[in-house]
Amino acid sequence: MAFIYGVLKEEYDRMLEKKNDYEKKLNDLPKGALVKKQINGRSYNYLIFRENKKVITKYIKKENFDTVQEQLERRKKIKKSLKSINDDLKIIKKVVKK
Amino acid sequence: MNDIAASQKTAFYQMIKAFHDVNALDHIIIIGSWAEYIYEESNQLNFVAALKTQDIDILVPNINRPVEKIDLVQVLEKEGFESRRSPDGLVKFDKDGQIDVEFLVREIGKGKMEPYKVNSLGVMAQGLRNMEILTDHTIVVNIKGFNVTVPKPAAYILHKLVINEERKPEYKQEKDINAVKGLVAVAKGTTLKNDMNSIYSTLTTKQQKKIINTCKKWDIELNKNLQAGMVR
Repeated sequence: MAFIYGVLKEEYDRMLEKKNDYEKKLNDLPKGALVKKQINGRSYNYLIFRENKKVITKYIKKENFDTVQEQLERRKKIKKSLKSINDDLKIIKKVVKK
Repeated sequence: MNDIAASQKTAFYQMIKAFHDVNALDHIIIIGSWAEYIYEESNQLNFVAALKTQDIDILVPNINRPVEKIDLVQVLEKEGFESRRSPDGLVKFDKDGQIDVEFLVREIGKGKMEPYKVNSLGVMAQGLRNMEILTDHTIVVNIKGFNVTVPKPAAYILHKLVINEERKPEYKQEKDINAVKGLVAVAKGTTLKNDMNSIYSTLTTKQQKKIINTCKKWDIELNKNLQAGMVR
């Protein structure tokens, strides 16, 4: 059953590859939350996010709203996948790093 | 680890359903360790798949089919799969960090280092030799209401025996043999041995020799006639 180690090592390498890929993707995606503000009776969209302990509010043009929303959803999904990968890596690491 | 297995299966069936919905299931064959899972799940054999890895290998038997193109990248991304390009140019699809979908095609002629573009399905695929053993001998099984194509278990075994010597890294040789032994052990009372004889007779002399050598090396008794080289 020595091959089990090889299989786990391959899975470990695959997960590391995925982890690196997802981390790169996260860097390219916006973070934060979209909020609507009413100013003088008009509605404006903003992206609020934290950067170096500072809260930043960024105006989002109407035509970019859907794209940013999709990117935020994608970010959320990638973070979920990344968490799952990191959890699995912790388990497999115990075996392959011995 | 059971939770991992459950979420892997969920992701697998999401992929199968997505392919079913766009009529792509007729144009692909599930191979690799997930084919073993399908043998188990569809009661093809009284068999418990030993090991399922994250990668789901999908073999495209004919890169020119379907004639009416299907964009599988779009289909998978719509289902929440994330694509990533590996250093060798292949594009793989991950679902929630649980499975990794990869496409394969038959390598013919001189072969090439870079991946093949499968225009009919809009994917990049890795070319591998001896795949005709799998594409020429398939069965369609129904799992959870979906008709999924897999190699006949006999073809799956013989293919693994043919390619064993070239499997790299070396641990994959042992992994494959472990799977083969598991399948051979449940062959009694099934058509597996007859299927193996008839498929074996369609193989080239070179492939037959490889099977015999692999069986000798790993002490596998497939079929006395076959191993004596009597099946031609």
